[in-house]
Amino acid sequence: MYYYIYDSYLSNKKYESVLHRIETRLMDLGINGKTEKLTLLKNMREIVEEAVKKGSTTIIAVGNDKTVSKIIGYLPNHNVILGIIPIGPQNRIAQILGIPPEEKACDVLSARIIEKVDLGKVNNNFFLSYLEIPSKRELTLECDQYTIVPLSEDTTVNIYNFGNILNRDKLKEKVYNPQDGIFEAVISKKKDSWSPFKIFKKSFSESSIFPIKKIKIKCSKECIPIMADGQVTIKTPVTVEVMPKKLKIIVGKNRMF
Amino acid sequence: MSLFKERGNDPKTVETIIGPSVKVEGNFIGEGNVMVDGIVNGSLKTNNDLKIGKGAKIKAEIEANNVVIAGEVKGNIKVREKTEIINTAKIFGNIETKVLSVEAGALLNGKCIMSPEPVTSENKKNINNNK
Repeated sequence: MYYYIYDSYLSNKKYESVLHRIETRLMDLGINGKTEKLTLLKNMREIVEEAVKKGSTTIIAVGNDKTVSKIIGYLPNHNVILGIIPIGPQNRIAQILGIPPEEKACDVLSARIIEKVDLGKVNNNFFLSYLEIPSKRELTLECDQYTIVPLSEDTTVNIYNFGNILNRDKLKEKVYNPQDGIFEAVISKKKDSWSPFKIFKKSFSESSIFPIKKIKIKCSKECIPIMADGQVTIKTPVTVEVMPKKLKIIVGKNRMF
Repeated sequence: MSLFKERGNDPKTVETIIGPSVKVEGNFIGEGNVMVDGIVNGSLKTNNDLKIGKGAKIKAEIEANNVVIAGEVKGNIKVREKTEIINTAKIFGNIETKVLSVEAGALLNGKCIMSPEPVTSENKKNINNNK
């Protein structure tokens, strides 16, 4: 059974026609289901738990990357499959998963190709695509038997599962394998941080890449805010670990992995 | 074999890059190829190949399959196959390797042991047990 969660920005009138086309297509394909619209008054945890209680096996995020980020935190505790119908800008996750925008995504949902992808856990929060940490003095990253210390404050530390979903240059953006049970900790100069692909050009050796499964990020001087998937903020100290193939997700044939 | 041709190096096969803006302290054990242009203190081991760039400063015991050295190393180096020392290299430590290549101008202060079966920490125990 399908449960559709609509992000609040879709209540804008400009999305009326696209939502109508989507709902018509879902009905044609026979995969329409219960719908819920996000508002300030509704708690996401309650929405997901209600969906599971009603027997939903597939929860669909209708919106953008932020919509997906809001939902994934509550999925690992339940045996549900995530689907996406991307609408509007900022839909890099759907692009990586091979899900076309708007009503074309309904056909992908109907085809139901399911892949298990890695999920990131940072303290008690979850992330799907990446973490961004601004480099500060006394910042350290502790792995199993060694410690990484950025030597300059003019760097950004990113931990990637998929890749940087905020990159504007989408075609050239490097996509990491989200099924290998490993994250990539990339330490690069601030001007390069928006484009990890530049690692593979002339400035190849200026950035650092460490494959990791678990890492502790600390700063002895202050608590640093860490951005997860471009929106959730968590403060150091944090422990980041990979949950291998924890999330079941519906993907398209043109996925980038 | 040369891992240090700037253009020929396929970035997809390099799994760990320790760049010039980081320092690594402790026992680093990598599974894939490793490229170092920064600072490493402790030990540096990989089952694959290691490239030490011109700007690298390493104070560590090193073990790898093939190694190309263009930077500074203070520590012993154990290589299963080939060691290539570029003219900008400065090595203060012993080298154990199967095949050795040294460019004119490289600095090497230490013993050099070459044998068909280079001794690494793993098979050293087997040799001692057989004795």
